[in-house]
Amino acid sequence: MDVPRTTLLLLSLSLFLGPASAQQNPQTSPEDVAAGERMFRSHCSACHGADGTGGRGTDLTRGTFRRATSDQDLYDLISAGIPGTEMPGIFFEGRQLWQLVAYVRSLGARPGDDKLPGDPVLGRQLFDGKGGCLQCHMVHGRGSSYGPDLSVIGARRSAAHLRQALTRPQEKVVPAHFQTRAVTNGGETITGIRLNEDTFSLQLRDSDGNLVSLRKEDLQEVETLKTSSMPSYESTFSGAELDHVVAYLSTLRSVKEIRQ
Amino acid sequence: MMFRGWWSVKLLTSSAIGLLALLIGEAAVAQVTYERLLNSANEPENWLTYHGTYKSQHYSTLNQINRRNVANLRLQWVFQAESLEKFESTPLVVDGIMYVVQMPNDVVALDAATGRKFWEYKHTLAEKVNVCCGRINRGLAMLGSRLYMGTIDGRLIALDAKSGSVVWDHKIVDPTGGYALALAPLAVKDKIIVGAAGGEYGIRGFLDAYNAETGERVWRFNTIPGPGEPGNETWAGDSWERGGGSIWLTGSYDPDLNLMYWGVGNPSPDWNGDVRKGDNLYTDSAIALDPDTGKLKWHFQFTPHDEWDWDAVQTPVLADITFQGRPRKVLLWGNRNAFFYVLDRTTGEFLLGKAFAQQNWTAGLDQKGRPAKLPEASPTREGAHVFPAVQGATNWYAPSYNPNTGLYYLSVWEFGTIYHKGDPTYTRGNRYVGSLPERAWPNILEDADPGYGAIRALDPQTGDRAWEFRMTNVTESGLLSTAGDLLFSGNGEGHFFALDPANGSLLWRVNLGGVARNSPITYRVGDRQYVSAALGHSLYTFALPEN
Repeated sequence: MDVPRTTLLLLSLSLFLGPASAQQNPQTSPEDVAAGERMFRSHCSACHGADGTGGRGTDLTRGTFRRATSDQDLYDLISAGIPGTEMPGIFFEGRQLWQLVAYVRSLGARPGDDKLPGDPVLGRQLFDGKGGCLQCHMVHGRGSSYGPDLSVIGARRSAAHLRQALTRPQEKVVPAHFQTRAVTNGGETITGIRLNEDTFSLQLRDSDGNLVSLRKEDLQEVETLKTSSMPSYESTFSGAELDHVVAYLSTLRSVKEIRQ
Repeated sequence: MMFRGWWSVKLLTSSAIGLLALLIGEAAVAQVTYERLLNSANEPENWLTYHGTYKSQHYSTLNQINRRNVANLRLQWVFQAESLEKFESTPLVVDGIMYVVQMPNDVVALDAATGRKFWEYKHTLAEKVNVCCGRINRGLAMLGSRLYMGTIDGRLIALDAKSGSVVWDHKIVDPTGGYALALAPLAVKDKIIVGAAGGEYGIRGFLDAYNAETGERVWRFNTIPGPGEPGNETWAGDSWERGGGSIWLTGSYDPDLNLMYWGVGNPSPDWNGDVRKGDNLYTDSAIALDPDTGKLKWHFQFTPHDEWDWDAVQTPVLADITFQGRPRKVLLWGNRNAFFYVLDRTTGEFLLGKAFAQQNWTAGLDQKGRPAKLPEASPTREGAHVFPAVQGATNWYAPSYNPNTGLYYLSVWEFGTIYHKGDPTYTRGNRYVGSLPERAWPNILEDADPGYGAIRALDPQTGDRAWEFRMTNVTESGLLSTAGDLLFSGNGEGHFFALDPANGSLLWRVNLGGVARNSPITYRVGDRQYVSAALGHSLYTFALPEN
């Protein structure tokens, strides 16, 4: 079946999985998910990562998939592979393949997030106002691009993770958020988020949001700072205010607001 | 434009060769005779085999492009593949025509001077194929007037080199059983030699010889010996039946010894050796075979009872050198397990072994080259952090031996993997691996410790490192050295570049924006030398300005 790419993109933008036009997964028990995990570790994790967060292959923990919406879509995709990519098909059928679908589904599940104590409307006010979060982050086209874009952060991170990131941001700094400090041969220091690097050059986004490309032959020193520039909001927000902000961030699951 | 070699008749100086050519047919118009393959080093204007010559040194005597003028290289043409799959094929160049595989299994004939297409053969794959690492092909063989290609749906196909028409198309393995052909065949005498990939699918590996004229199988050597065959005792129970031992990279050939050399892949399941106790011959071994009969002359196992997926699928480099004061016909082998080996290729005797990259799986090699494995390096449920990584300290990408410098060059990964042990379950045609490793591939932007890539020069006399060209990211590119005092390579960062083979200094580079996954080649059309390499999804060809 030759489905135009634009159609696939639009399908994948659904906030929630649409009604399945074909078979629902008949193998969704915890035992099925566990069996699917074992298969995932043997067949899928080399590309999609041991925890499904991606690597050479796509991050499967976002809860939505670019090329599949229904369980049947996932079943068919895993069975046949994706021509033109490194994604091979698999020769499992029936129960085993449904178990794998169940595990892949579980990677994107965010149980409990719909019962959060905070008020997302108040959370947005705090995020935009008192917190000053838009000075570094962008949400649906508003704000700064220095820090990570948070437009779909609710689909990627649990409420507990979001709260920890707000109150103890230095605790789990992922390398992609490390800052890089470069000193030119002329003595100028440039600090920013590393966007790319190769043997000969370094690409940064500096603290003003500017894109900077540096030739390594022009640098006397390059240092990776394994800390985040994100401040702790533990003392900035009260406990209730943190609940509101977390509730707001958890609602950020789609970019449909900026799509026509 | 007429190519002078295209219609020419090659005179056969040997009566034996002449008889052979008659036997394979079309002798009057045979373009690439076995004699030409034997003497391919004497016609550096062509790239007649996957490795350039039977010795597989990836060295060319062409020197029009050299260290003094390499900075003047200019892009001449680009072949943009219609496939977005990994471009791992290395072209052949025969009398001004380039033959290259477009992934997964389409063959294209191009004017090697301009990149203009003559013809294209499009292969229709079986509906479902199962390959571990992408739908790829590494190249072709040519013998007589035919091109030979293995396909990932298990077929061996002979094409007419003038038209791309199919001469014969034989299914030799069943892809639903996990078998695939990914390598470029090797043409020896009147035979086409191929092996099968599938070490992650519990295949029983083999090397086959096919009659080049008819496509009929002449012999098969099972890389996993069955009951009653020497080596079967190195497999517990019936584990040999699905023991892996794939062959997915082209071997080499010494016509004086009449021996072929091939590297054998990993045992199955990859990361749980409990179900296949023993050394698991001939996995992870170099094997030397008689091409006439398929009989094994000798073997050398680099990694007995491998639990890390360290296929011995590297280029067997043949060199005739004075080794420690004595003339020797040697085999140079930088292995995925992080050791560089020198073997006597007449007997298989171990002469030297030395680590060329970080490793923590063995306390060292004994006098026969057998490793003293460290028990803590075996995969565990929780994961064992072991160097080298699952992709190896090097892999299938071609090394180069330069007889002028006497150095052996190879692409290196400095990276470690966390190896997990799982429970392997065999179901026909599916993966049979026993869990998968963590940190299989570095991400330089997202990993706290992504390691790095390098090109290293080793002295075959000692295994010592002569120099290193360090890169930020790992590399999957092969190497090419030339008599122009140049060492060409690409890398994972999009660069294609030339180093000084004497000291590793960078002489020239260009950013082509894609990952290099084949081996650069060089050839000449008329009086112009060209250098070609694939990066990303395109093949780029360079030369000096015409004036």
